[in-house]
Amino acid sequence: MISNDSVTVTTVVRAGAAETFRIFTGEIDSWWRRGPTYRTHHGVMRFEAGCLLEGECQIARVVAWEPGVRLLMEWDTWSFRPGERTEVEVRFEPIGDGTRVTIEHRGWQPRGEGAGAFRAVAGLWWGALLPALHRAASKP
Amino acid sequence: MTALDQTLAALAEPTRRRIVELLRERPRPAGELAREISVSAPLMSRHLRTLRLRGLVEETHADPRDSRVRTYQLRRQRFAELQQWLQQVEALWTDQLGAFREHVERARKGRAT
Repeated sequence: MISNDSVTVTTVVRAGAAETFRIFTGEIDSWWRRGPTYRTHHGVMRFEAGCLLEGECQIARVVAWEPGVRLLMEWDTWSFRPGERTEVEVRFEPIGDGTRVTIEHRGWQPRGEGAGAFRAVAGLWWGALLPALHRAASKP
Repeated sequence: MTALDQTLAALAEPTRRRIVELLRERPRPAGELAREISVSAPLMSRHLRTLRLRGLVEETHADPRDSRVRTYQLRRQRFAELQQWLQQVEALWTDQLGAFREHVERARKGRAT
């Protein structure tokens, strides 16, 4: 799902929330896809000293580490504008005998000068004022 | 006043909101906007100037034969670019989450056998 400033994706896995969190963080190098689209640096991916590293390069900084519940990171890569920092939140919720994993990546709105106009246009784009544009933008 | 306050103030005025609504359909010349909304040309110019200064609309040159015809459109270029970017990011995370799910399933099967 895409809103005017964030991306949310979700899945359900058949494992408890604590176990899912442990695999997500502890085995990230095993499951994170390989290839230049997914890995921009070289080396093992791992959480270490409050950071997500790929080799010696920092991918993200951990802001909140709540095993089985939530992981919040300041994301340094995948920026829309150079040098931009965005936020990635991973939530773990028990559902039946499994866990719903939700990743929300957000924070691309411009800050400072021009931010107000951008937000207003974004709001117009998605809001009730612009249903036609909204429909057009939602088409795959 | 913050930039957002200024933008909201620009949109709080009913005539300017009507202009934005008309421009959402397609770019229009200032004269056409004035006729549609039934306001004088000078008053329309003032409203368009306010919207332009707030970054909500921009002039285009829809008619290259006549540079006197000022056509206006909503400024959504940056927003459209961002939407494209967000679609790429969504595809990346969908991929990663799919890979994670497969990994968890494999791990479970490994333990079961």
